[in-house]
Amino acid sequence: MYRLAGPNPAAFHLFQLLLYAATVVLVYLLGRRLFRDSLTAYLGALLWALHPLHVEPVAWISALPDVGFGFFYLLALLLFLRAEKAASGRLREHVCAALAFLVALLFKEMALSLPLLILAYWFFLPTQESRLSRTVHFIPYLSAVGAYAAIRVSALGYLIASRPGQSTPHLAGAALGLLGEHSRLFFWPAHLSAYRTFEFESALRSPWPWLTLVVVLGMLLIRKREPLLSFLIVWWPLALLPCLDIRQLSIPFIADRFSYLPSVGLCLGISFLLCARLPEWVPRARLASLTVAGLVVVMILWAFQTVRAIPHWRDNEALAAHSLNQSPNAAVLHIIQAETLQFRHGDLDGAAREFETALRLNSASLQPLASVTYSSYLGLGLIAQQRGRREEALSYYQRAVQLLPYRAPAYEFLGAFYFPGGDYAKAAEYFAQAVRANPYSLTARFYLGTCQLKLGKYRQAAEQFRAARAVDPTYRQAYEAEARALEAMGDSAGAAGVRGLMPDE
Amino acid sequence: MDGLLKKRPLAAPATLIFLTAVVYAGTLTNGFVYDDDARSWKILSSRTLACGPGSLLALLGRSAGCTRTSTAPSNSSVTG
Repeated sequence: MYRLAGPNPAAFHLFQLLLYAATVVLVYLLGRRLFRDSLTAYLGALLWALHPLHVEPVAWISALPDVGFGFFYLLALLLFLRAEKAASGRLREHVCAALAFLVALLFKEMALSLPLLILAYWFFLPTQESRLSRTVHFIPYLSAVGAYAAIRVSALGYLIASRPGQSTPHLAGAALGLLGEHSRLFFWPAHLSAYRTFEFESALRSPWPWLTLVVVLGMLLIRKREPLLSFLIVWWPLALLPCLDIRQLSIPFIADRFSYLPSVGLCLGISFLLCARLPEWVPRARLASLTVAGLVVVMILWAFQTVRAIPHWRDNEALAAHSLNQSPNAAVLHIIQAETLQFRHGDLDGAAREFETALRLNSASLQPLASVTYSSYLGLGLIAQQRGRREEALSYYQRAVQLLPYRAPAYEFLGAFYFPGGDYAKAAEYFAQAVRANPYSLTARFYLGTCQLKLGKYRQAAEQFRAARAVDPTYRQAYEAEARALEAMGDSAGAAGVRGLMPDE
Repeated sequence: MDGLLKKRPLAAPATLIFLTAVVYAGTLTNGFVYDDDARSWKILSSRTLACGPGSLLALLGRSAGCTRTSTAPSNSSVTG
């Protein structure tokens, strides 16, 4: 996309919107295949399309994995349903579905719930097919999981990130609390926030987790009488499963985008309940019109809320201001606030207070995150340095290094600490560590090159500047610095060559 | 209504796309927010997305020759 349109946000937003619209059509096709009733499918798809919780994945370009995985997940499910009804060549159809499933997995690991959903489909909507045949048809999906696991281990070096263990009752309680919060947000999508906080005790005190649990258990009880409705409702907790384990979650524990795909089941289920089942249970002529009218009213309200929420994603400032208003206890927002005070307003006292607040909120949260503590240490260190308290600054930077030694910024701060005093050897040592941690860091590359230039290591300096301009070919200072390093080596022709490559301003 | 949707099979997808586009048209005038600023995308587009450490496409990237791109930093420790 960047190669096509450059750093133009409209192009990225347009792509995301088109993919979302295509996914809405898939929801409709899926509903039509399940219900054999176009109107029910249409209303279910529209309900899903207009849901305000989808503003985050659609309006946030970095949520492309969610929109991409949603599209391929539903495509896989649609192909699976087609394979189920196919008269012949069913295994081939299941292989096609599994390939779409593999693409969904490569977008986002949340897609791992698809095999569970397929098992649930077979459980709620049994056919005459033999167990052996089902096992054979399930193999392509398991193979996709296996292929994904192999790619993941090869790329990341692990299958599941391990976090300090917590007791099983605590994890189960947190999962139930999260499920309840997602349900609350689905039915009452007000106060949308990109940095929502999750409070374990208050979540379990609310009626939502228990109501959700009762409904899901109820669906299991009526599954023989209402198999399709039960399947669609159980879709919700099943697809949410990967986002209910707090050990796997970062900030925030509960995000709007997590319910993007799971809400397909609920939207189709609600439409099916109101448009197909309820009029059958209570056969009064006006009921069908009334339920459809009620659904339309809900859709109008949701559309209004969606349109209202989109401008919050206009830019960083709009998002941070809105989120802080909605989620004053989110530690990350206090870091953003601190940086605004520090760099835009020069309010060091205010910034220090905000960093301290972030540290306090993070340590009191359900699963404190090292990255929040790390950023706060760096911020507090810089403030101490600006106030001339060098020992205190050093102490904060070193604590940050100890906390996350594989991250570059603390090394860059340490390099920048020694650089102005002329201790180029020590500064170079830290900038080199920053480059090892993040080879794409322009700051680290450029300053490492500058230190080496000062130390008379011209060849190494030129290499760093060349690396910096390779990362960002528009970085004019890197070209000029490289040319100077080459001149210092006596390579005037090389220097002229580099200057010739320099892009226009 | 159901009859109309059945009679005109393209009507449902077309109106769904239209309504989605109308409601979400506001996103087109939005900018980048935090993770998706222009510089990140520039760097991502150059190499990281296909070849970078941590990318799930790393394996595919390797087979596409990511280690030998002409724009690669000469002393980069990124091998993926």
